[in-house]
Amino acid sequence: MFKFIRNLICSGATSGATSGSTSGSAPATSAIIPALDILWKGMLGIFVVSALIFITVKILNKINSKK
Amino acid sequence: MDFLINGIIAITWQQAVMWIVGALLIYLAIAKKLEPALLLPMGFGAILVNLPFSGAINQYNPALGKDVIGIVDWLFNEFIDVSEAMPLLLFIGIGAMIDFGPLLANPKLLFFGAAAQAGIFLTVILAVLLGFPLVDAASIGIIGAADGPTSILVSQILDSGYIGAIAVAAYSYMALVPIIQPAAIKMCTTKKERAIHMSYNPESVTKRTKIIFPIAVTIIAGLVAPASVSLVGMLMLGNLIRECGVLNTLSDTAQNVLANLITLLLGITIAASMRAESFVRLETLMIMGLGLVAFFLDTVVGVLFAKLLNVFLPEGKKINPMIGAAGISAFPMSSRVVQKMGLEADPTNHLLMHAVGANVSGQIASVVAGGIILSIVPLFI
Repeated sequence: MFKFIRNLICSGATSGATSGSTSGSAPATSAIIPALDILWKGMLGIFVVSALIFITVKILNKINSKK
Repeated sequence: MDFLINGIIAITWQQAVMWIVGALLIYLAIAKKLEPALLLPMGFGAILVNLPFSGAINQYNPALGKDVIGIVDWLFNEFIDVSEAMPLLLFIGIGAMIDFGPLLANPKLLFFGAAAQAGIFLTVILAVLLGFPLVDAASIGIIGAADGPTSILVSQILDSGYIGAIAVAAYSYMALVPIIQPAAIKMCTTKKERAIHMSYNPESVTKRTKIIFPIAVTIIAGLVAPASVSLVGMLMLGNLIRECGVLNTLSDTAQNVLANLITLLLGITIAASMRAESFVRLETLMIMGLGLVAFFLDTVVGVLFAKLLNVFLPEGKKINPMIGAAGISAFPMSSRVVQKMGLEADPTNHLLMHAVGANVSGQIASVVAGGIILSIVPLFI
Protein backbone atom coordinates (compact mmCIF):
# COMPACT_ATOMS: atom_id res chain seq x y z
CA MET A 1 0.00 0.00 0.00
CA PHE A 2 2.81 2.39 0.84
CA LYS A 3 4.58 1.52 -2.40
CA PHE A 4 1.37 2.34 -4.28
CA ILE A 5 1.07 5.67 -2.51
CA ARG A 6 4.74 6.40 -3.09
CA ASN A 7 4.45 5.59 -6.78
CA LEU A 8 1.44 7.86 -6.93
CA ILE A 9 3.40 10.64 -5.31
CA CYS A 10 6.53 10.12 -7.39
CA SER A 11 4.62 10.10 -10.66
CA GLY A 12 2.58 13.19 -9.99
CA ALA A 13 4.46 15.22 -7.45
CA THR A 14 6.33 18.37 -8.23
CA SER A 15 9.94 18.42 -7.19
CA GLY A 16 9.71 19.08 -3.50
CA ALA A 17 13.40 18.68 -3.09
CA THR A 18 14.67 22.07 -4.13
CA SER A 19 16.41 23.52 -1.17
CA GLY A 20 16.71 27.07 0.00
CA SER A 21 13.17 28.29 0.43
CA THR A 22 9.89 27.38 1.98
CA SER A 23 6.95 27.00 -0.35
CA GLY A 24 3.20 27.17 -0.18
CA SER A 25 0.76 24.46 0.74
CA ALA A 26 1.07 22.22 -2.35
CA PRO A 27 4.55 20.83 -1.58
CA ALA A 28 3.60 20.47 2.10
CA THR A 29 0.61 18.34 1.19
CA SER A 30 2.52 16.18 -1.26
CA ALA A 31 5.44 15.72 1.15
CA ILE A 32 3.44 14.74 4.24
CA ILE A 33 2.89 11.15 3.14
CA PRO A 34 6.57 10.62 2.35
CA ALA A 35 7.36 12.16 5.73
CA LEU A 36 5.03 9.67 7.43
CA ASP A 37 6.60 6.91 5.39
CA ILE A 38 10.03 8.03 6.55
CA LEU A 39 8.77 8.05 10.16
CA TRP A 40 7.66 4.44 10.35
CA LYS A 41 10.45 3.10 8.18
CA GLY A 42 13.06 5.08 10.04
CA MET A 43 11.91 3.92 13.48
CA LEU A 44 11.52 0.36 12.24
CA GLY A 45 15.03 0.44 10.80
CA ILE A 46 16.54 1.76 14.02
CA PHE A 47 14.74 -0.82 16.14
CA VAL A 48 15.71 -3.64 13.78
CA VAL A 49 19.36 -2.61 13.99
CA SER A 50 19.10 -2.30 17.79
CA ALA A 51 17.49 -5.73 18.06
CA LEU A 52 20.19 -7.34 15.94
CA ILE A 53 22.92 -5.65 17.97
CA PHE A 54 21.16 -6.73 21.18
CA ILE A 55 21.10 -10.36 20.07
CA THR A 56 24.74 -10.14 19.00
CA VAL A 57 25.82 -8.71 22.34
CA LYS A 58 23.89 -11.34 24.27
CA ILE A 59 25.56 -14.08 22.25
CA LEU A 60 28.99 -12.49 22.65
CA ASN A 61 28.52 -12.12 26.40
CA LYS A 62 27.42 -15.72 26.69
CA ILE A 63 30.24 -17.16 24.56
CA ASN A 64 32.99 -15.06 26.07
CA SER A 65 31.89 -15.54 29.65
CA LYS A 66 32.07 -19.30 29.29
CA LYS A 67 35.69 -19.20 28.11
CA MET B 1 40.95 57.26 -1.60
CA ASP B 2 37.81 55.32 -2.55
CA PHE B 3 39.56 52.01 -1.95
CA LEU B 4 39.73 52.86 1.76
CA ILE B 5 35.98 53.16 2.18
CA ASN B 6 34.70 50.68 -0.41
CA GLY B 7 34.38 48.00 2.25
CA ILE B 8 32.58 50.31 4.68
CA ILE B 9 30.01 51.57 2.20
CA ALA B 10 29.29 48.03 1.02
CA ILE B 11 28.14 46.83 4.46
CA THR B 12 24.58 45.51 4.46
CA TRP B 13 22.28 45.27 7.47
CA GLN B 14 22.19 41.52 7.04
CA GLN B 15 25.95 41.35 7.43
CA ALA B 16 25.72 43.48 10.55
CA VAL B 17 23.16 41.02 11.94
CA MET B 18 25.61 38.20 11.30
CA TRP B 19 28.31 40.06 13.20
CA ILE B 20 25.94 40.14 16.15
CA VAL B 21 25.18 36.44 15.69
CA GLY B 22 28.90 35.71 15.58
CA ALA B 23 29.51 37.78 18.69
CA LEU B 24 26.65 35.99 20.43
CA LEU B 25 28.13 32.59 19.63
CA ILE B 26 31.51 33.74 20.93
CA TYR B 27 29.85 35.05 24.09
CA LEU B 28 28.02 31.76 24.66
CA ALA B 29 31.28 29.89 24.13
CA ILE B 30 33.41 31.96 26.49
CA ALA B 31 31.07 33.36 29.12
CA LYS B 32 28.59 30.49 29.32
CA LYS B 33 31.03 27.74 28.28
CA LEU B 34 28.48 26.25 25.85
CA GLU B 35 30.35 23.94 23.47
CA PRO B 36 33.23 26.42 23.20
CA ALA B 37 35.26 24.19 20.89
CA LEU B 38 32.65 24.61 18.17
CA LEU B 39 30.77 27.78 18.91
CA LEU B 40 33.85 29.99 19.20
CA PRO B 41 35.31 29.21 15.75
CA MET B 42 31.81 29.24 14.26
CA GLY B 43 31.13 32.65 15.76
CA PHE B 44 34.43 34.06 14.61
CA GLY B 45 33.99 32.49 11.19
CA ALA B 46 30.55 34.08 10.89
CA ILE B 47 32.19 37.47 11.30
CA LEU B 48 34.99 36.61 8.84
CA VAL B 49 32.70 35.58 6.00
CA ASN B 50 30.32 38.49 6.48
CA LEU B 51 32.78 41.30 6.00
CA PRO B 52 32.28 42.97 2.60
CA PHE B 53 34.56 41.53 -0.09
CA SER B 54 36.03 39.23 2.55
CA GLY B 55 39.22 37.50 1.45
CA ALA B 56 38.25 34.52 3.60
CA ILE B 57 35.73 33.44 0.95
CA ASN B 58 35.99 33.16 -2.82
CA GLN B 59 35.89 36.52 -4.58
CA TYR B 60 36.08 37.43 -8.24
CA ASN B 61 38.80 39.99 -8.77
CA PRO B 62 38.00 41.96 -11.94
CA ALA B 63 41.47 43.50 -12.07
CA LEU B 64 43.08 40.07 -12.05
CA GLY B 65 40.31 38.59 -14.14
CA LYS B 66 40.00 35.46 -11.98
CA ASP B 67 38.48 34.01 -8.85
CA VAL B 68 40.60 34.39 -5.75
CA ILE B 69 40.09 31.39 -3.51
CA GLY B 70 39.25 32.10 0.11
CA ILE B 71 40.44 29.72 2.84
CA VAL B 72 37.00 29.21 4.41
CA ASP B 73 35.39 28.33 1.09
CA TRP B 74 38.34 26.11 0.20
CA LEU B 75 38.06 24.21 3.48
CA PHE B 76 34.30 23.82 2.96
CA ASN B 77 34.59 22.71 -0.67
CA GLU B 78 37.40 20.22 -0.10
CA PHE B 79 36.53 18.79 3.31
CA ILE B 80 32.76 18.99 3.49
CA ASP B 81 31.21 19.56 0.06
CA VAL B 82 33.26 17.07 -1.95
CA SER B 83 34.08 14.42 0.59
CA GLU B 84 32.29 15.08 3.89
CA ALA B 85 35.71 14.27 5.33
CA MET B 86 35.66 16.51 8.37
CA PRO B 87 32.60 15.16 10.18
CA LEU B 88 33.59 11.60 9.30
CA LEU B 89 37.15 12.00 10.58
CA LEU B 90 35.79 13.59 13.73
CA PHE B 91 33.79 10.44 14.30
CA ILE B 92 37.01 8.47 14.61
CA GLY B 93 37.96 10.67 17.52
CA ILE B 94 34.49 10.43 19.07
CA GLY B 95 34.50 6.64 18.75
CA ALA B 96 37.86 6.49 20.48
CA MET B 97 36.40 8.43 23.41
CA ILE B 98 33.38 6.18 23.97
CA ASP B 99 33.37 3.32 26.46
CA PHE B 100 30.57 0.96 25.47
CA GLY B 101 31.13 -1.13 28.62
CA PRO B 102 27.96 0.02 30.47
CA LEU B 103 25.91 -0.73 27.37
CA LEU B 104 27.47 -4.15 26.80
CA ALA B 105 26.84 -4.99 30.45
CA ASN B 106 23.16 -4.09 30.06
CA PRO B 107 22.31 -4.51 26.38
CA LYS B 108 18.57 -3.94 26.70
CA LEU B 109 19.41 -0.25 27.01
CA LEU B 110 19.96 -0.32 23.23
CA PHE B 111 16.23 0.06 22.75
CA PHE B 112 16.10 3.30 24.72
CA GLY B 113 18.67 4.77 22.39
CA ALA B 114 16.45 3.70 19.50
CA ALA B 115 13.27 5.15 20.97
CA ALA B 116 14.88 8.51 21.70
CA GLN B 117 15.52 9.10 17.99
CA ALA B 118 11.79 9.49 17.32
CA GLY B 119 12.09 13.25 17.67
CA ILE B 120 14.07 13.29 14.42
CA PHE B 121 11.27 11.83 12.35
CA LEU B 122 8.47 13.68 14.11
CA THR B 123 10.32 16.94 13.43
CA VAL B 124 10.60 16.00 9.77
CA ILE B 125 6.81 15.84 9.67
CA LEU B 126 6.51 19.19 11.47
CA ALA B 127 8.98 20.81 9.10
CA VAL B 128 7.05 19.51 6.11
CA LEU B 129 3.83 20.90 7.58
CA LEU B 130 5.55 24.27 7.94
CA GLY B 131 6.31 24.24 4.24
CA PHE B 132 9.90 23.05 4.05
CA PRO B 133 10.67 20.74 1.11
CA LEU B 134 11.28 17.15 2.16
CA VAL B 135 15.06 17.34 1.73
CA ASP B 136 15.32 20.37 3.97
CA ALA B 137 12.80 18.93 6.42
CA ALA B 138 14.91 15.78 6.76
CA SER B 139 18.04 17.89 7.26
CA ILE B 140 16.26 19.89 9.96
CA GLY B 141 14.87 16.77 11.61
CA ILE B 142 18.35 15.30 11.99
CA ILE B 143 19.12 18.05 14.49
CA GLY B 144 17.24 15.71 16.82
CA ALA B 145 20.10 13.23 16.49
CA ALA B 146 21.84 15.54 19.01
CA ASP B 147 25.03 14.90 17.13
CA GLY B 148 26.81 17.72 15.33
CA PRO B 149 28.80 15.73 12.75
CA THR B 150 25.74 13.66 11.82
CA SER B 151 23.67 16.80 11.35
CA ILE B 152 26.32 18.42 9.18
CA LEU B 153 26.92 15.28 7.15
CA VAL B 154 23.26 14.53 6.45
CA SER B 155 22.38 18.12 5.54
CA GLN B 156 25.42 18.33 3.28
CA ILE B 157 24.73 15.07 1.43
CA LEU B 158 21.06 16.01 1.02
CA ASP B 159 22.26 19.37 -0.28
CA SER B 160 20.15 21.40 2.09
CA GLY B 161 20.47 25.16 1.86
CA TYR B 162 20.39 25.49 5.64
CA ILE B 163 23.60 23.79 6.77
CA GLY B 164 24.73 26.83 8.75
CA ALA B 165 21.50 27.16 10.72
CA ILE B 166 21.33 23.40 11.25
CA ALA B 167 24.89 23.26 12.59
CA VAL B 168 24.32 26.21 14.94
CA ALA B 169 21.08 24.66 16.20
CA ALA B 170 22.59 21.20 16.69
CA TYR B 171 25.59 22.35 18.69
CA SER B 172 23.71 25.01 20.67
CA TYR B 173 20.97 22.66 21.80
CA MET B 174 23.45 19.90 22.64
CA ALA B 175 24.99 22.35 25.07
CA LEU B 176 21.54 23.28 26.40
CA VAL B 177 20.53 19.70 27.21
CA PRO B 178 20.79 20.43 30.97
CA ILE B 179 18.03 23.00 30.47
CA ILE B 180 15.88 21.35 27.80
CA GLN B 181 15.70 17.83 29.18
CA PRO B 182 14.65 18.51 32.79
CA ALA B 183 11.68 20.53 31.54
CA ALA B 184 10.62 17.77 29.15
CA ILE B 185 11.12 15.04 31.76
CA LYS B 186 9.12 16.84 34.45
CA MET B 187 6.34 17.42 31.94
CA CYS B 188 5.73 13.69 31.48
CA THR B 189 6.75 12.07 34.75
CA THR B 190 5.71 12.28 38.38
CA LYS B 191 8.13 12.54 41.28
CA LYS B 192 7.19 9.00 42.25
CA GLU B 193 8.17 7.77 38.79
CA ARG B 194 11.45 9.68 38.89
CA ALA B 195 12.18 8.00 42.22
CA ILE B 196 11.90 4.45 40.84
CA HIS B 197 14.94 2.48 41.85
CA MET B 198 16.64 0.22 39.36
CA SER B 199 19.01 -2.50 40.48
CA TYR B 200 22.29 -2.70 38.66
CA ASN B 201 23.16 -6.27 37.73
CA PRO B 202 25.68 -5.96 34.94
CA GLU B 203 26.63 -8.90 32.79
CA SER B 204 30.32 -9.53 32.67
CA VAL B 205 31.94 -8.00 29.63
CA THR B 206 35.21 -9.40 28.36
CA LYS B 207 37.82 -7.61 26.33
CA ARG B 208 37.04 -9.91 23.42
CA THR B 209 33.43 -8.72 23.44
CA LYS B 210 34.56 -5.11 23.42
CA ILE B 211 36.76 -5.82 20.39
CA ILE B 212 34.16 -7.74 18.39
CA PHE B 213 31.37 -5.26 19.22
CA PRO B 214 32.43 -2.39 16.91
CA ILE B 215 33.02 -4.80 14.02
CA ALA B 216 29.63 -6.43 14.51
CA VAL B 217 27.80 -3.10 14.79
CA THR B 218 29.36 -1.83 11.57
CA ILE B 219 28.34 -4.95 9.67
CA ILE B 220 24.79 -5.00 11.08
CA ALA B 221 24.13 -1.31 10.54
CA GLY B 222 25.76 -1.43 7.11
CA LEU B 223 23.59 -4.30 5.93
CA VAL B 224 20.34 -2.65 7.10
CA ALA B 225 21.22 0.92 6.13
CA PRO B 226 24.15 0.97 3.70
CA ALA B 227 24.28 4.76 3.63
CA SER B 228 25.23 4.66 7.32
CA VAL B 229 28.46 2.72 6.73
CA SER B 230 30.65 5.83 6.59
CA LEU B 231 29.11 7.26 9.77
CA VAL B 232 28.94 4.06 11.78
CA GLY B 233 32.18 2.76 10.32
CA MET B 234 34.27 5.75 11.37
CA LEU B 235 32.69 5.77 14.83
CA MET B 236 33.37 2.08 15.29
CA LEU B 237 36.89 2.32 13.85
CA GLY B 238 37.71 4.83 16.54
CA ASN B 239 36.21 2.55 19.16
CA LEU B 240 38.12 -0.48 17.87
CA ILE B 241 41.36 1.48 18.00
CA ARG B 242 40.54 2.26 21.64
CA GLU B 243 39.53 -1.26 22.67
CA CYS B 244 42.10 -3.38 20.81
CA GLY B 245 44.76 -2.56 23.41
CA VAL B 246 47.65 -2.49 20.95
CA LEU B 247 47.20 1.00 19.55
CA ASN B 248 47.32 3.14 22.65
CA THR B 249 49.21 5.97 20.99
CA LEU B 250 46.79 6.00 18.05
CA SER B 251 43.87 5.96 20.45
CA ASP B 252 45.35 8.85 22.37
CA THR B 253 45.97 10.73 19.11
CA ALA B 254 42.42 10.10 17.91
CA GLN B 255 40.86 11.23 21.19
CA ASN B 256 42.96 14.33 21.55
CA VAL B 257 44.97 15.65 18.60
CA LEU B 258 42.69 14.45 15.80
CA ALA B 259 39.46 15.35 17.56
CA ASN B 260 40.70 18.78 18.58
CA LEU B 261 42.18 19.56 15.17
CA ILE B 262 39.07 18.57 13.26
CA THR B 263 36.83 20.34 15.76
CA LEU B 264 38.84 23.53 15.33
CA LEU B 265 38.68 23.42 11.54
CA LEU B 266 35.07 22.23 11.42
CA GLY B 267 33.84 25.22 13.36
CA ILE B 268 35.40 27.76 11.05
CA THR B 269 34.54 25.74 7.95
CA ILE B 270 30.85 25.64 8.79
CA ALA B 271 30.97 29.41 8.83
CA ALA B 272 31.13 29.21 5.03
CA SER B 273 27.43 28.42 5.15
CA MET B 274 26.69 31.29 7.51
CA ARG B 275 26.74 34.04 4.94
CA ALA B 276 24.17 36.74 5.53
CA GLU B 277 22.17 36.08 2.38
CA SER B 278 21.56 32.45 3.36
CA PHE B 279 21.34 32.85 7.15
CA VAL B 280 19.38 36.03 7.78
CA ARG B 281 15.91 34.91 6.89
CA LEU B 282 12.76 33.73 8.56
CA GLU B 283 13.55 30.10 7.86
CA THR B 284 16.58 30.29 10.17
CA LEU B 285 14.36 31.19 13.11
CA MET B 286 11.98 28.40 12.16
CA ILE B 287 14.89 25.95 12.05
CA MET B 288 16.07 27.06 15.50
CA GLY B 289 12.55 26.48 16.78
CA LEU B 290 12.24 23.09 15.10
CA GLY B 291 15.62 22.03 16.45
CA LEU B 292 14.43 22.77 19.97
CA VAL B 293 11.25 20.81 19.29
CA ALA B 294 13.33 17.88 18.02
CA PHE B 295 15.31 17.69 21.26
CA PHE B 296 12.12 18.02 23.27
CA LEU B 297 10.36 15.26 21.36
CA ASP B 298 13.38 12.95 21.62
CA THR B 299 13.18 13.26 25.40
CA VAL B 300 9.41 12.90 25.60
CA VAL B 301 9.24 9.83 23.36
CA GLY B 302 12.14 8.21 25.20
CA VAL B 303 10.37 8.70 28.52
CA LEU B 304 7.04 7.49 27.15
CA PHE B 305 8.73 4.39 25.73
CA ALA B 306 10.04 3.53 29.18
CA LYS B 307 6.60 4.11 30.68
CA LEU B 308 5.06 1.85 28.04
CA LEU B 309 7.47 -0.93 28.99
CA ASN B 310 6.56 -0.44 32.64
CA VAL B 311 2.97 -1.42 31.83
CA PHE B 312 4.21 -4.93 31.17
CA LEU B 313 6.83 -5.14 33.89
CA PRO B 314 6.12 -6.40 37.42
CA GLU B 315 6.64 -4.30 40.52
CA GLY B 316 10.25 -4.36 41.58
CA LYS B 317 11.44 -4.57 37.99
CA LYS B 318 10.06 -1.28 36.74
CA ILE B 319 12.26 1.03 34.70
CA ASN B 320 12.83 4.59 35.81
CA PRO B 321 11.28 6.52 32.88
CA MET B 322 14.14 9.02 32.90
CA ILE B 323 16.38 6.31 31.46
CA GLY B 324 14.40 6.76 28.25
CA ALA B 325 15.41 10.41 28.19
CA ALA B 326 19.07 9.42 28.43
CA GLY B 327 18.76 7.69 25.07
CA ILE B 328 19.60 10.83 23.13
CA SER B 329 23.10 11.14 21.78
CA ALA B 330 24.19 14.12 23.89
CA PHE B 331 26.89 12.32 25.86
CA PRO B 332 27.62 12.76 28.73
CA MET B 333 25.29 15.66 29.49
CA SER B 334 22.11 13.63 29.22
CA SER B 335 23.24 10.89 31.58
CA ARG B 336 24.34 13.50 34.12
CA VAL B 337 20.94 15.19 33.89
CA VAL B 338 19.19 11.88 34.61
CA GLN B 339 21.53 11.05 37.50
CA LYS B 340 20.97 14.48 39.02
CA MET B 341 17.19 14.34 38.66
CA GLY B 342 17.15 10.84 40.10
CA LEU B 343 19.01 12.05 43.18
CA GLU B 344 16.65 15.01 43.50
CA ALA B 345 13.67 12.64 43.56
CA ASP B 346 15.39 10.26 45.98
CA PRO B 347 18.88 10.90 47.35
CA THR B 348 19.57 7.16 47.39
CA ASN B 349 18.64 6.64 43.74
CA HIS B 350 21.75 6.32 41.62
CA LEU B 351 20.88 5.91 37.97
CA LEU B 352 24.20 6.83 36.41
CA MET B 353 25.28 3.48 35.02
CA HIS B 354 21.87 2.84 33.47
CA ALA B 355 21.80 6.38 32.09
CA VAL B 356 25.31 6.08 30.64
CA GLY B 357 24.38 2.80 28.95
CA ALA B 358 21.31 4.39 27.37
CA ASN B 359 23.31 7.49 26.44
CA VAL B 360 26.01 5.58 24.53
CA SER B 361 23.35 3.49 22.83
CA GLY B 362 21.90 6.78 21.66
CA GLN B 363 25.20 7.55 19.99
CA ILE B 364 24.90 4.39 17.92
CA ALA B 365 21.20 4.94 17.23
CA SER B 366 21.72 8.54 16.14
CA VAL B 367 24.27 7.67 13.47
CA VAL B 368 22.08 4.78 12.32
CA ALA B 369 19.20 7.26 12.11
CA GLY B 370 21.36 9.54 9.98
CA GLY B 371 22.19 6.66 7.68
CA ILE B 372 18.55 5.65 7.42
CA ILE B 373 17.55 9.21 6.55
CA LEU B 374 20.20 9.18 3.81
CA SER B 375 18.90 5.82 2.55
CA ILE B 376 15.19 6.66 2.54
CA VAL B 377 14.85 10.36 1.69
CA PRO B 378 16.47 10.19 -1.78
CA LEU B 379 13.82 7.64 -2.74
CA PHE B 380 11.25 10.42 -2.53
CA ILE B 381 13.14 13.02 -4.51
